[in-house]
Amino acid sequence: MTVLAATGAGRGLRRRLSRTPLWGAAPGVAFLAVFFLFPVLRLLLLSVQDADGGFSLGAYARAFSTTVYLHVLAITFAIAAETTLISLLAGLPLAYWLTHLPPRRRGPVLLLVMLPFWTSALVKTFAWLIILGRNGVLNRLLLAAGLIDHPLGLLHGRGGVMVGMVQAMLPLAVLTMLPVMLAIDRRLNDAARTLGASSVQAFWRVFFHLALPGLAAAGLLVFISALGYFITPALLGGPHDTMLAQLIITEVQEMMDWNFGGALAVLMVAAALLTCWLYERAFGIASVAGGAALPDPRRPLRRLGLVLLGVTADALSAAGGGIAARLGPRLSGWALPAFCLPVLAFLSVPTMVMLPMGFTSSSFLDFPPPGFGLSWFRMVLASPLWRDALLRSLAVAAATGIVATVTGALAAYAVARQGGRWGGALFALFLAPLAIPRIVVAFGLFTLFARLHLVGTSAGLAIGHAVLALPMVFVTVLATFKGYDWHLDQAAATLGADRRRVLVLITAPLVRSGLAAAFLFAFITSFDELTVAIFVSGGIVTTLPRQMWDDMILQLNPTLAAVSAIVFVIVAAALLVAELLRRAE
Amino acid sequence: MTNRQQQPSRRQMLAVGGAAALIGMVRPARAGRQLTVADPGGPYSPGYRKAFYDPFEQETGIRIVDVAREAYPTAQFKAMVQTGSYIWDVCTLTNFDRDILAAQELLAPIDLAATGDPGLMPGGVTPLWLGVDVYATVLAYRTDHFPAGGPQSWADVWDVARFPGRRALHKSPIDTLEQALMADGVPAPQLYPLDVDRAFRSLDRIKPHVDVWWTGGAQSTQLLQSGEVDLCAMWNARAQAAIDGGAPARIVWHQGLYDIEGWAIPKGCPHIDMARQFVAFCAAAKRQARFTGKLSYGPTNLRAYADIPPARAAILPTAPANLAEMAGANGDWWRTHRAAVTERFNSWLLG
Amino acid sequence: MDGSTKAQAAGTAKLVTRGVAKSYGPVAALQPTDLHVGAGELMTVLGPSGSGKTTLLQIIAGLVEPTAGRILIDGNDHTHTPVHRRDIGVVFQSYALFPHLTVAENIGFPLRMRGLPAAELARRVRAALAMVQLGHLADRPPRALSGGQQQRVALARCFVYQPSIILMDEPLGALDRKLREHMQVEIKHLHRESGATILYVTHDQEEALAISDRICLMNQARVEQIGSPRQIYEAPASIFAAEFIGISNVLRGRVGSRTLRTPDGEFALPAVPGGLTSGAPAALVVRPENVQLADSGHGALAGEVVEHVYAGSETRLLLRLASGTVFTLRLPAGVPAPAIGAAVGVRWPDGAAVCVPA
Repeated sequence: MTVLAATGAGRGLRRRLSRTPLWGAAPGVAFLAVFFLFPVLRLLLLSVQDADGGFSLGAYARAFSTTVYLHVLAITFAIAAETTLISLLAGLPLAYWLTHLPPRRRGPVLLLVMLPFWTSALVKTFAWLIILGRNGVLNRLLLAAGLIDHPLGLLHGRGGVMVGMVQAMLPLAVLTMLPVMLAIDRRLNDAARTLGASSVQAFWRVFFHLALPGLAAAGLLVFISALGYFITPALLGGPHDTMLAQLIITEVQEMMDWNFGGALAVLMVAAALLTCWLYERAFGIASVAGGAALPDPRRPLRRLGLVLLGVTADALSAAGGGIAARLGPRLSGWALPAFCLPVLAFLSVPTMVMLPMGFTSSSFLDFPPPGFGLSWFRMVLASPLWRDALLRSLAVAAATGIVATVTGALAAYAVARQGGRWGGALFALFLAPLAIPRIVVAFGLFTLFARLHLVGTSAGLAIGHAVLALPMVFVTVLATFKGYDWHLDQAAATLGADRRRVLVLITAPLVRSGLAAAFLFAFITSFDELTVAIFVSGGIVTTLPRQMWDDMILQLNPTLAAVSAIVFVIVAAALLVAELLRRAE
Repeated sequence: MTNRQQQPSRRQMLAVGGAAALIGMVRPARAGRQLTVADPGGPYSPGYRKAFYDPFEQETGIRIVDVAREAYPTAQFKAMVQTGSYIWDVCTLTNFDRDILAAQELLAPIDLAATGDPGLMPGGVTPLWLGVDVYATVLAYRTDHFPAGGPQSWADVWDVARFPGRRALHKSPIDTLEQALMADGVPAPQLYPLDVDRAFRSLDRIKPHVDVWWTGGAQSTQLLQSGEVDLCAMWNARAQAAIDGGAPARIVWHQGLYDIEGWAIPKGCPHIDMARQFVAFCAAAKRQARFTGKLSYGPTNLRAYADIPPARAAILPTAPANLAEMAGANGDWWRTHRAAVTERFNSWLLG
Repeated sequence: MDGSTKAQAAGTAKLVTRGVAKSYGPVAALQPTDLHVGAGELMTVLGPSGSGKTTLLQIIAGLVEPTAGRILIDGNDHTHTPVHRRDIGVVFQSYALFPHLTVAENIGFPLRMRGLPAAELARRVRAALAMVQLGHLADRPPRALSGGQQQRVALARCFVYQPSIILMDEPLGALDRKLREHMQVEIKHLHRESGATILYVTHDQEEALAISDRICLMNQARVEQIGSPRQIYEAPASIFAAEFIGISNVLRGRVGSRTLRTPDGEFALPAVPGGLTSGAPAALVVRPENVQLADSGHGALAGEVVEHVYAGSETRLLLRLASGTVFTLRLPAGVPAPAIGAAVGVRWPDGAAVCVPA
């Protein structure tokens, strides 16, 4: 509202606007316009300038004068696509299994799925180095068991990259497709079976089709997130696993060629937007919000997508049926857990390896630790640097959570109430930060913040993190509103409550579990965020991931593991509190 | 160790509670008799504090607030000067970064000529910058893998028949091209200007035998420490960290390339006089000697070795015996050729 | 067990359940139940919610595994046959139409599962669509259809593959009354045309009376009474049966010598149910349509008119008896009703009252 007033909107317009629920989106729109659209567009502008600010297409000429950037872009796409494919293939059975668990058991298993979220990307990557190295945990186990004669080369190739990236992305895939799967009417499965479909056929012909919007949404989120990855491929990959984000960071930070860095960022954004567009054509963007629309088979691209999926489903159904027939009903009943339990183990292994190393007496990350000692914890807790970083991370995450939840939830309310053309536009806007790789947002914010004197401030960090967290909040709250009975609002209005009081007294309390989940998402997004922190913190306001990153560049010791253990405890406590609140409801 | 009490106070940070808190989170103005310096962080901070910050505070009464700068501070440096929002007054730069920033006229003169110390090594001081510590890119190998003596030159590293083993090189053309040329027989003093074509031809020969191209310093330590590789081109301090951690490894100073890191002041710095006073303070041999107890970097003031025990000196790049084996990296050549060569290097890696 | 052997010997039983039971921990969802459904019969399973009728249906369909008992179809044991091999059709209350398939694809689904050739499949889908008069909506998605149309699609999808038994779980529960009555006729029609054996679950006693060959009345997880609609209506076996189906006047008391003593008087019993000895609690059940107004006085039950309920073709009169029991009777249209507060007497012909245990 204040924004509207500030823009000097006329009285009539204001009265008209105050009657539509769209006003709720105003704070979020203003926020995104200033801190997302503007910096990203400025970056676009930067890419068509030369070093002196004059118009120039030199950066693009350079980008296309050699094949190396297109080659890296192709590699980036390939890595993102492979990550997406594997995450979906592993995530689908896992999510399906989760839908079949009784709710009481589902909660704890879900926490296990989310375990990788609780450990920073950096730490997870180093954990993989320790597990998969030539003298790593896995090779030593296999050698000791006599299964291999020579250590396997598991790292420094595409395989290593996939291990690291899938482990990071799988939770996102599962959490995105799960709500859609849970919303599927279980009786449809019964119906299919009474009509003569075996349980394998019922899965592929009915459940799978109905879960498609969720799968498609998961695929998009994973793909876009994977596009912007740089740490994992750099540390686990080989010379052929260079991602575009790495080159952008080099251009911006080492070469200081912002114009060329901007051009590469534009290349990345263009690729990401193209993907989103194709996705929208094939599946409808609304499915990101969870189970909204089924594909309309009339559009040619969608029909193509559906036909492809249908053929795949048939083939998989036949194969699955064959396997199930061979295994027999008893064994095939065990097939799902037999697949899912190792996947869960895969998700939690890096954390399980990293945590004990914080309690090591060694000055290196050795697993298993040669001896027990608390010196690294003492070091971390005694160090003002780490203490400040921890407190700042908590404060920034809390501020991010509040800002993102308030603006995002209001926007979700507006879209849920209004819908229509404006609703669609808002929907696209609030999901847009997901479609732009983080590195681009971070770089754009950096150039903007430098002008606003926000580089090196906690406020700058919180703003940047809120931009990244808004889509999560928006989608989560919007999904909550799907099941909301708007008659309750109407009832409150007939009983004399004005719109604001309806929102505060009726709507908000009724969707509070959704709001709490959204806050938690935003909190964790900020708490584990590194890219924006690298660009915006200025080394002055160090957050925990940023401090870990700095530490890692210069030295590698069990501080990382000790900090991870502390973070683990904090996040676990936050999730536990959230779970208790939910149960109390 | 570090003193960060003047940063946004914890009380302010905890007062976060909505939009109002955002205002409270904006950086507070800095106090008067105080200098903010940006060092590389990590082990540098305690090392520099002992050598420079604490003595400076005692001598002048000016408080030193140290922050960890970015790994690559140039972008931040540029943004800071362009927008006039100075978050620190002095910052360490490699001579490479210094040249980039100097070319864009973003540095203030340090005015050291008057107090310039005669012990400073060649290239250790310019009008815009005072070198403080020297690091070197060297060869390190696992002694357990080469019990009968390991490779002693880049030519040996390239000789996979005589020295079989897993190899790691830096995923960057800087230093790597020089190493390739030295392996191909170019004497260190004649490296520059680099014969890029020859370097890539040499790299072609070793490429199939490189098991890891590392990207971060800590990664190279981990590679050597865990035995993931047997030979590694890496920074001396990173190799030393593995050795200090008990790894059976040795540093080969021969054909190493050293580079210097030092203080620079951003143009338009609001505390320019104090900043210059601090920079000059760091030139003294005795003070530089003190950080070598914690850091395995060499002092730029070679007179410092008078105060450094010989055992410690042996692992420092500027110890006379080590320095004699090495050549200086040439930032000038790289400044003009870096973009093109990096592009070619990336392309070569993917090919 | 006598009945079951007899039915089997006769060879008419399409579906037999023997001692089928289901319990979840200590809670019995279904007590051991014996049921015999003849070939071509339409049997409704009627009862209030929680009476175990849906559990019974799910066990027969194979969607729920019984804790005890056996299921025989055509004399063969199918207790552990997987759902999709039982050749049983189920019409779900929610219709369970696949939202990602068109109407025609939904109907074709079971045929596809059975590997029918495309041409044959298309022909039978067309025929099924014609049967439910929805040929013009073949390519629509199910959600574009009205509730009644969706229900007809669900029926067509079930009849199209001619399963040997069709189970219907409250199939009309979501429809409004008018549509429900229309669909009841349609189901009866489909049943007659197809000759299918149908087990039909409902909680609507009017619906049960309207469409069933026989009714299996359930209460508290067990079978209360099985019989034709007429038998159950006219000769309820319990107070529950009497009260659940239609409107009943129930006068509770104790059995005397060929009489029932109640607070409102003593009534001669035409027949005392087996097992009821003198002094046992019992009740007399009289249907309202059998009750006539009479002058209060000798031989008539006296009461006071408390309410008129006008229902077009008739008016129901509610009386309060001396004991406080409310008693209902029906006045055909045109018969003037006594004023509220008037003291009236009622009587019923011999044989119109049934005595049940209480």
